[in-house]
Amino acid sequence: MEIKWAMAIDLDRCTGCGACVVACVAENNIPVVGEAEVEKGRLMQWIRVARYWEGEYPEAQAVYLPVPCMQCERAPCETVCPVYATYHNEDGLNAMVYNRCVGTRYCANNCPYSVRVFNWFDHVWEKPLDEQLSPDLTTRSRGVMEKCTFCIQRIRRAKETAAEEGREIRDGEAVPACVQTCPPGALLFGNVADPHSEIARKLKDPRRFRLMEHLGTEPRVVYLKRQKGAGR
Amino acid sequence: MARRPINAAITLACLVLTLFLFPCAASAETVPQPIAFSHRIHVTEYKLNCRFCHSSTNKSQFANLPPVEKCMMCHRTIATEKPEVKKVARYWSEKKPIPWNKVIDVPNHVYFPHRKMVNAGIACLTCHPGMDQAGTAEQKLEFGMGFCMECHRKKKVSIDCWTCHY
Repeated sequence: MEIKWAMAIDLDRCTGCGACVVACVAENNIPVVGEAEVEKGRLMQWIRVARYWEGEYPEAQAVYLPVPCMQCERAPCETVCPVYATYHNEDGLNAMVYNRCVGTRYCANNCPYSVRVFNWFDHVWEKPLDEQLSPDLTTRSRGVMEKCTFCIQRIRRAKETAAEEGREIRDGEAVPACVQTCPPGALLFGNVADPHSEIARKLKDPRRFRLMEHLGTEPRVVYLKRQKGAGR
Repeated sequence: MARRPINAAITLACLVLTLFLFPCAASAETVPQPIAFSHRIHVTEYKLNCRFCHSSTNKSQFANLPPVEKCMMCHRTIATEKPEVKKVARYWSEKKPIPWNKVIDVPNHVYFPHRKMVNAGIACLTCHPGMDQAGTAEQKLEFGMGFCMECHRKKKVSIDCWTCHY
């Protein structure tokens, strides 16, 4: 079966709690850089919850927009990498190969969503925090670009289990950490190539839109618009 | 006659070199271990399956080292008088794991699931040649990406970068 991973983010459900960010940091061995580095714009989070304000005080309302890597079908980051460290893989994901990266940072410069983060230092996890590092993926070293992978290690595990049991991967079997943890269930992940999957149904929602669609990057992350009206 | 001291010097130099080089070469191959465990005796002579001791190779990403308990399954009654076995028994009575030194280190940027290889029917000796004749573990093949790719291409399995590097 053909696989085309995609993510849907329902803005009606998102409360801006930031649980997705925490889950991502814990799952993907993302270093905590500290206040001084964050001030220099070197925050390492792979998903951010952007906050916007609607209306004027006292009627102001916050609008939250979780922004992971869009896994663009026509990714601007891929074309500028001089060493092919970032490329499009067979599942339609925008892959990032750390051991190939030489740290030119062209990709981050070319990303319209600013979701790529750079390792300015070799990060150390002080004891006992090193005990919680995931052995399933690399701890990136200094001079390497990194970004959201849709939790490729979880996708791999699901695929391996399916292969060992001699069947196709089931809908909802591969779940990124952010999707799994989202308390109001605003995030949904799945294979759009499978017409019976939950995500394929969700993406038919008339509320759908994609971030900066006019750029023609064809993102794989689809947002569902917040609706206005009674009870909202 | 004038040549003689030069000859002597060359001979001496050769001697010193052989003395220096050979132990170095040998120590680069074999990693010192707390117990002189022999793979040859267990695997070749007593025909034990590799997976009898390294039992998680078909279940896990990692090929485990057996716990002391596994050694003592047999060595409570077999060859108890041998000095090396006595060392095992000491660890057992002290309730301490044997501090084996790592021989093969998979780099951090490689995801290598043993279970995928073992379940695909790849023999252990494909990547660990001569282990059945070795004393303590030694790795004779150098693992470069070319070594992996050769097999992956031949068997037509994925050669996507993200299969192993993420």
